[in-house]
Amino acid sequence: MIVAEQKSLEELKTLIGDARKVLVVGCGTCVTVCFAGGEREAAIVSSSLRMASTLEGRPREIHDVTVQRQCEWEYLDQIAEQIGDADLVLSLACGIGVQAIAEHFPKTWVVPGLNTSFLGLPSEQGIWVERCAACGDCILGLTGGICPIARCSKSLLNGPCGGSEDGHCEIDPEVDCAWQLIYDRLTAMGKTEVLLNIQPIKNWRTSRDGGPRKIVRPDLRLAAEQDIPAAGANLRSIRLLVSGAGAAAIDAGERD
Amino acid sequence: MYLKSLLRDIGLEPERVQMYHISSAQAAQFAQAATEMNNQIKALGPSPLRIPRTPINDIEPPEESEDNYHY
Repeated sequence: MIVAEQKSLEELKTLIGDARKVLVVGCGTCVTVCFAGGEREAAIVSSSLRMASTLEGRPREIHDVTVQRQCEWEYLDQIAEQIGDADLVLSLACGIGVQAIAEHFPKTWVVPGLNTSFLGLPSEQGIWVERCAACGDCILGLTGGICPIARCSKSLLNGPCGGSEDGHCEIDPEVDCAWQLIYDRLTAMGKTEVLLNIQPIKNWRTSRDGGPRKIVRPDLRLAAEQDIPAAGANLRSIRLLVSGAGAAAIDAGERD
Repeated sequence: MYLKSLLRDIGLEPERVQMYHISSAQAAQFAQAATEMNNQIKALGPSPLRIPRTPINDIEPPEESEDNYHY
């Protein structure tokens, strides 16, 4: 899931500024399950801001609503009227949801109520940990299902480094050494020979280094929406081409 | 703790809320906690968010209409 944290009430008040009619919009997916921006949190933020505004002597009209997913147009369409009535929208979604509102409602001033943190999972009650860096070229099949890109502080492909001590990372004794975890798991699975394959330098074009990423699935496109980029267009895209046999090939598109 | 810090951020006194762990067999502790909170709230005074109520004698009686039921 996308894991996020709520901004402080003080920062939210600053972001809201002088807006008189505020709509707090929660999201019913990732940020609901990490207790940052779901229906419950939207109601608490809305109520807290109403009380704080009243105490400051400038009461505002603050309402809240939560949609299933802020990152899809059809769910945003359901609250178009409420968004149109507001001076300002405080989005409690991840950064994708905030941008979706900005893109879908060009005349709406939207501000983020959360800090989007990482892609991860809840390891214990009340604790979330990072597990994926969305590098666009998954190597978990080579590392026993433990990601050295997200979990090794240096994102090493042939670890561990000299900073690994008693199974922990040199940056913090609380942080597990990802390569120790990988070695332990491969040992337990009887597959340590996998480590003998030296991994070549990673192609980071599929990660953030290639600019904003995009996936086009021709098999899912609607005929009416097919767009053909003009010849010579400066297109930065990653196209996932699925052949009849199901094999995937990556075409890194035209570059600068 | 969360609620106390939220109240503080809002601008209200965190002492307005307190959590007690009391079993159904601890009547004396319950009474003590209730007295403690009562004194605490009295000392803090009314919530600044509270809308002042109109004294009951100043409220105009509603006009009677045919829709009103009388028992």
